[in-house]
Amino acid sequence: MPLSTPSRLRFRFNTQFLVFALVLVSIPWLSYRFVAESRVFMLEGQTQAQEQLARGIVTLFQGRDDLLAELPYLESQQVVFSHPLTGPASVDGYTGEWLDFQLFANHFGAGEDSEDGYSLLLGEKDDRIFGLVRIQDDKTVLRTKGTPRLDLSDHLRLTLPDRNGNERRLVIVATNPGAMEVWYVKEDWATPQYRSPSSSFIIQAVMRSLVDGYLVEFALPRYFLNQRQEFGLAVADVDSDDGTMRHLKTLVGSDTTIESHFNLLAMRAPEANKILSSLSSADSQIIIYDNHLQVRASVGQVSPPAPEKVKPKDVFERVQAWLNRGLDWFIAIPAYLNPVQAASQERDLLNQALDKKFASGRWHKGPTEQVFAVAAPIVDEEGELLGVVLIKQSTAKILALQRQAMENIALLSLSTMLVILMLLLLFSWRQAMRIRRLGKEAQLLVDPDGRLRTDRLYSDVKAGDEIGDLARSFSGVVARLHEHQQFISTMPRTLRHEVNNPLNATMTSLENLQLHGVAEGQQRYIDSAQRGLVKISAIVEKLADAANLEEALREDELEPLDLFHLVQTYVSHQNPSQQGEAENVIFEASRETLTVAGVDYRIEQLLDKLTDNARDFREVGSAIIVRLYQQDYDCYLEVENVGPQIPPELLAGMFNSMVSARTAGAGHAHFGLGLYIVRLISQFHGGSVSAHNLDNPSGVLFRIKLPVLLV
Amino acid sequence: MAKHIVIVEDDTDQRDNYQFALEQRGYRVTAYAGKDVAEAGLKLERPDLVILDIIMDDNIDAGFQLCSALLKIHPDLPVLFLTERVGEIDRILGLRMGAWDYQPKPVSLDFLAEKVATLVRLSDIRGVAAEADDQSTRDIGHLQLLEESRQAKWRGDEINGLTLTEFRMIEALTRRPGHILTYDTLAQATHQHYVSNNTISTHIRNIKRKIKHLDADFDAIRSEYGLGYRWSEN
Repeated sequence: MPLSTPSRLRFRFNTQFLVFALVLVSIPWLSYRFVAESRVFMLEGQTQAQEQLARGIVTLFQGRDDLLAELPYLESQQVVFSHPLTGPASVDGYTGEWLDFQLFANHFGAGEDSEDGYSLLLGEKDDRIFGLVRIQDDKTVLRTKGTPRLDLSDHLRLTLPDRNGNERRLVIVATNPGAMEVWYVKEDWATPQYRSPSSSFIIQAVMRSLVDGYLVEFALPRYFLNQRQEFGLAVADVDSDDGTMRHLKTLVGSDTTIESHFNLLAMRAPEANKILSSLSSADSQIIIYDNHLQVRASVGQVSPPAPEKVKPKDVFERVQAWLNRGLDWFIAIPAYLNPVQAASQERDLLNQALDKKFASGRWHKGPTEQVFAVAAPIVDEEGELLGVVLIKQSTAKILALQRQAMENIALLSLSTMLVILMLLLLFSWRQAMRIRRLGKEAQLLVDPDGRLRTDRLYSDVKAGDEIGDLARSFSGVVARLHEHQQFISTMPRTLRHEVNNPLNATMTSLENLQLHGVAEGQQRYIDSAQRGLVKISAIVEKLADAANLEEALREDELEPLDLFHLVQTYVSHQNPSQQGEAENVIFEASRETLTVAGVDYRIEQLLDKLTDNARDFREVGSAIIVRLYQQDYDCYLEVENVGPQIPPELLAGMFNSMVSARTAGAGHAHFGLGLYIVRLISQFHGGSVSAHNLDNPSGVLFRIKLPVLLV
Repeated sequence: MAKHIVIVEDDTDQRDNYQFALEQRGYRVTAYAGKDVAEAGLKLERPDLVILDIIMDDNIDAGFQLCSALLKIHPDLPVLFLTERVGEIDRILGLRMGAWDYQPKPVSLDFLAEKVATLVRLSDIRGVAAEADDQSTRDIGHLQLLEESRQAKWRGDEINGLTLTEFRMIEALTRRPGHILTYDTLAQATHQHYVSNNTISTHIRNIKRKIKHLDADFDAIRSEYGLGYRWSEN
């Protein structure tokens, strides 16, 4: 019976593998913890450096009111400050580049939220002045193309005095949302003189409709401004009552007297900028505000423009992109501020600085970026507030470093894990193959009859590891079992050899005794001794014949044989020849010719064994049935008797050598060799034998299956 | 003059019994207990028959080796193996070496004496040039039995390699052609104490093979399955 698989061993292997996998996983986890701690340390260092820088700048500007008050203010003029645009700036009607400055918008008109007002933001980048005008207008009136006048639709009026003191008047008007027309106009602001070509070198303007009005983004070269950097801007709101009559409803200027006064565009203070430029770094922005919180100097930018996303080209880049997404998820900081909230935070810091307090703060600008800001007041010798220095620095570099480290760790860990896993798989596959090979060889060691085919194992017996030990031990056991089997198989021959010599000596002695002459009455003892010796001789011969049968069968040659004739003749010779006596053996056949490839006297020997067996076990008076029939390409020879059944536990091993269902001392000597001989002869003929218990009436049937010889 | 028989047997009891039985029947017997002494003794004289055991002392092939050595000295020496080695291979090997017969143990001394007598007579007959013309023969169909030389011919050709047992079986089978000889009757022809049906069938198989070597269509020995054999040329 095959042994069941020990589940405990399998569990142990699994557990070991799990522990090993956990140890492997802990390596990247520990590395991650190390990187995270390093990040905290680096951020702390960065904070301290920022604060030191802020204090340094404050010290530089301490008492330098000349740096912050160098603009030629006029009493009548309003100053509009321009903000440095850090990212890519374009005239497209969208406010992406303005998000950081929204809180610094200048509001003109009735009020911040009232109708007919507008807000203005000015910015500068690369020698160009950018403007963003957000106009509240419940009814946007566009210019009809070809209309001679320019004041019959909503428009912007821009006044730019040139360096000679002459006023240039420009009207920016839209015929459709999108690119706007820029006209030089006469003094009446209605009659066009000529139209400025739309170009990035001259003046560009774009209009976009909003829910509550519209938005105009424009840009003009810096050289359009005079030395005082004066300009005037007014928004003209034209409404049409009946759809045809249009009139100028309101005119809201950036100055109360739009006709004759100009605003002053405050640019960064060049001297202050110069000082700061030496302090700037790639990922930080230093801004100097005056005490009106207007930007006077600015250098650097918080975060460099994000690189454009490139589609992954090959598998490696795809894996890297996938890895990056995983890392984003892993490192991402879930809560971050939108630009307006961030600006508010910044404003809070500035307000604290305006109160002459040193302030710092940190917020998340995006999912993977943190901004650290320090605001410090700049005071003069009397302690009066001159301005505020604001330093903003992105932690993107640190995070990028962390990310790079994480990427490296992830890649290294993954590669290491993959290599280790591959090695582990290879190792376990090799071990499994070795064990399987060993198991397979062990299975093939034994033939279907349970006999060892060889005296040793060949797999892994030379290996130096535990499997080798196991193989060697097993091979040793096999060798011993084989020796034992050899002993068992040669035992009958040895027995015959060992018994025959003394038997022969005894028998010849008895014969010689007879030659000498025996006293009267003693002959019967000699006869009795001789009969006993013949019995012993018969026993030994039977044992030896059975043991030698396989060898003897090799001498036989299969020939075409009429099995029907053989069995019929055989059965006829089993029955009494005298009439009136009941048949001992009944022959049943489905056909009268049945040819097999066989050896006749071996089939006869097989029938002898089966009929002898049936005779021994049949019920007294019952007949033995010998049946012969064909099914497909096989023929079946059955011998059936009524009598006791074979115990089920004996059925499987019935045809092995020296297995008997007989009780000891039941008449003739029986060694359980008869059915073993039947099996050997059946197998020699390419067939098989099976035993079946029968019910109603109880009995036993032996069935020999032989292949039919197809002629 | 008494025929000289040499017995080579390492077992004292058996050796003495053979010697006594044969001497009682008028033979001059020399008995050796081992291969070497026998080989030394037989270099000097040629006996009329040598009876050899095969396994002697620790040498399991001592008899075969001695047979080979003796036949080199006396090529026409009749040799009878009397042994407990009864395997088919051993039997074939012994006969191919030039032994005249092969007799398994245990053996009846009567049969041994008869076999010895037959082999000695055969040796005498075969020593005469025109032996076949003088002896009595019996014809059964295409079979001719030469009674004295214990030889048989099928369709005029001698059946080679017939052992004495096989000759006796053919003789018994042909005594009443067409009649069945049961296994028990045939067993008597072997002159052994115990003979199984299978042993008889093996002898019959060997006889058939030897005749079929001369005539592939030979079919005169018919099996009466479960009972015995009969001779019938029809």
